[in-house]
Amino acid sequence: MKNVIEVKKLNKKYKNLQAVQDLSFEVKEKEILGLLGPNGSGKTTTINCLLSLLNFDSGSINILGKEMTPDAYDIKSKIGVVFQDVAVFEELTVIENITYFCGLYIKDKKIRNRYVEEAIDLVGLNDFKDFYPKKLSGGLLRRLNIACGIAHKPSIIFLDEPTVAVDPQSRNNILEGIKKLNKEGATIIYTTHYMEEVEILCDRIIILDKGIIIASGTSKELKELTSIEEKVTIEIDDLKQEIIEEFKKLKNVENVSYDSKLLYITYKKGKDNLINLIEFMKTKKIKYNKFFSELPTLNDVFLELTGKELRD
Amino acid sequence: MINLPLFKQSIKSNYKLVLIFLAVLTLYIAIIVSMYEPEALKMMESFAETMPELMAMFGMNMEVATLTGFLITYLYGFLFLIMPLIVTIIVANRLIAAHVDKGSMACLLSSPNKRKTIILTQMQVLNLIIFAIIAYSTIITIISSEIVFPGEIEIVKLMLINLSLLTFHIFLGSICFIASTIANETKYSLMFGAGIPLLSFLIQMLANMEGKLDILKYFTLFSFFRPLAILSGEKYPYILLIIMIVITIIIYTVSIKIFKNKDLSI
Repeated sequence: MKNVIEVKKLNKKYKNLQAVQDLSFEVKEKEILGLLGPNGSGKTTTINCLLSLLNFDSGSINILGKEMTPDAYDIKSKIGVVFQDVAVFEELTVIENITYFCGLYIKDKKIRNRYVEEAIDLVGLNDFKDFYPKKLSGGLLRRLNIACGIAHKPSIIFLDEPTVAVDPQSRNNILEGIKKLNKEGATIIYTTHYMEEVEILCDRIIILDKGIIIASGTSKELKELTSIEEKVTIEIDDLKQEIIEEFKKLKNVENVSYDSKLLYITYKKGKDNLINLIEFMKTKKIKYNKFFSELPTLNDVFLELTGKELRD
Repeated sequence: MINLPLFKQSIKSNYKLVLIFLAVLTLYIAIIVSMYEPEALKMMESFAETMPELMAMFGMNMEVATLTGFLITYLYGFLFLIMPLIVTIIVANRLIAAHVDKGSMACLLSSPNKRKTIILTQMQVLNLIIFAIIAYSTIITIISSEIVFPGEIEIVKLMLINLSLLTFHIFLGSICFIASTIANETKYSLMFGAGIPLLSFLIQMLANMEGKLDILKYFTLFSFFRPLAILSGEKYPYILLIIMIVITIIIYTVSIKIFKNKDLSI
C-alpha cells in the first residue's frame, strides 16, 4: 500500500506552548490510523496543520503525493473532515445541511442529491431528513455532523473525536459507518481519547502526549511494549495484611492492592501466572466471590510510558 | 467571485432578521411622514426652543420646515442611522466570526474553495443586505410621502441623501466586518464591531448638544454623513462621501488580507 499522507518533522508552537514537536508519520492508503492521546496532546493541532487551517513553524506535509498548502484545492477536494464541534446550521434542516456541505465540493446537482441520500442512509438519519438540528438528540447531531463531512465521498477522511458525548447506540452506529466507509476505500485518520474505539477500529495507532509521538504500531504491538502480562481482580470479603504480603511474593507479581473487598494483582510477563495464583488461594483456603483477569489495555501502555492515565 | 452555496446559506440565515427590521422601518416611516404638518411643526419648534439640547442630541434639527427637511430631521438623525446599523452589526458578526466560533468556518476552509472567494461572498451578502435596507427605506419614504403629501418631497435631493446614507452604512459595515474577520470569537467581534460605531454614535449625540462638547463632532464616524448639508446644496458632503468610499475599500482590502492568512483557533 502506498502512503497517502506523509508528515515529516512537523512543529507548531502557540506562544510558549509547543503543541506539536518533530512529528513524523505516514498514513497508508485504505488504512484506519488512530491518533490517541489525552486532551491537549496535540491531536487536533496535528489535524488542523494537515488541513492547512493552521500555519506551522517547520516540517512538511504531503498528501496524495503533493505538498499540502492552503491553496491545494485538488487535494482538498478529495478530503472530508468531521470536526469535534458540531458545525451545522440551525436554520437548515438535516437534508439542507448535508446538501450545503456537499455543495461545497460537488457542483452537479443530480450527483449531489444522490450523494446526500447515500450519506443520510449511511448515518441512519432517514427518519429525520426534514428535522431542524435543535430537534435532534446529541447522538443524532453527531451523526448529522459526520454526514456533512463525508457526503461528497472523499478518499481521505479526518474524524476528530466524532463520538464525544454520544450515547452508546449512536456510537455504535458511527463506528459501523466509519468501518463501512473504510471498506468502500476511504483512508481514515481518527483522533480520540477513547482507547476502546481505536482498538475496535484502527489498523494502526499513534499515541501522542504533549505533542510528541510516544509510541506507534498496531494495538497488539503497542500492548507488547508494556511489561504487564495481565491484571487480575478478585472479590474477597475479608483479607488480612499478612496474606496480602504473601500475594506480593508470588512469582511475576508486579503490584498488589486491596480496596473495598477487591484485590488487584498486576502480573509481569511470565508463564502459568493464573494457575499459580489459583493454587496459592486453594492452599491458603481463601474464599472468593468473583475472579476475573484482564489483558493490558492501551491505557496501561500510556500509563507505563508517561506515568499518567489517558484520561487525566 | 462568489460561492453560491455559502451565499444562499448566508441569505437564508439572515433574511428573517432583515424582514423584521424592514417591517419596523415601514411602520416608523409611515408614522413620521404622516406626522408632517405645519401645526405639529410649530409645536415641535416650541419644544425645541425649550429643550434644544435634547432635540439636538437625537439629531432633530428644526432648521428646515419643508417635508424633506422634516424627514431628514426625524428619520435621518436617528432612525435611519441606528436601525440599519443594528442589522449590520448582527449580520457582519454572523458572516465570519460566528462561523469561526462554531466551527463551520473550518469545514468551509477545508473544502476546495478559495479563502478570497469565501470572504468576498460574505462581503457581498453584507453589502446586499445594507443596500436592500436603504433602497427599501428610500422607496417607502417616497411612496408614503407621495401618498400623503403629493409633490412635496424633493426626490432628487432625497436620492442623493440616501446615496450618502448607503455609502455611510457600507462604511460602518466595513468596520463591523473587519472586527468579525479579526476576531475568533463572537464576543470580541461584537465588542469591536458594535462598540466602535455605537460609541461613535454616543459621541455624536453629545456633540449635537453643542456648547463645550461641540468639538467632539470631529471624533465621530457619524460626521461623515451630513444630510442637511446635502439638502442645502453644499459640496463638502460629496468630499466626505469619496473619503468614506476610499476608507471602505481600504478596510475591506485589509479584511481580505487578514482572512487569507488567518489561523483558525480550534
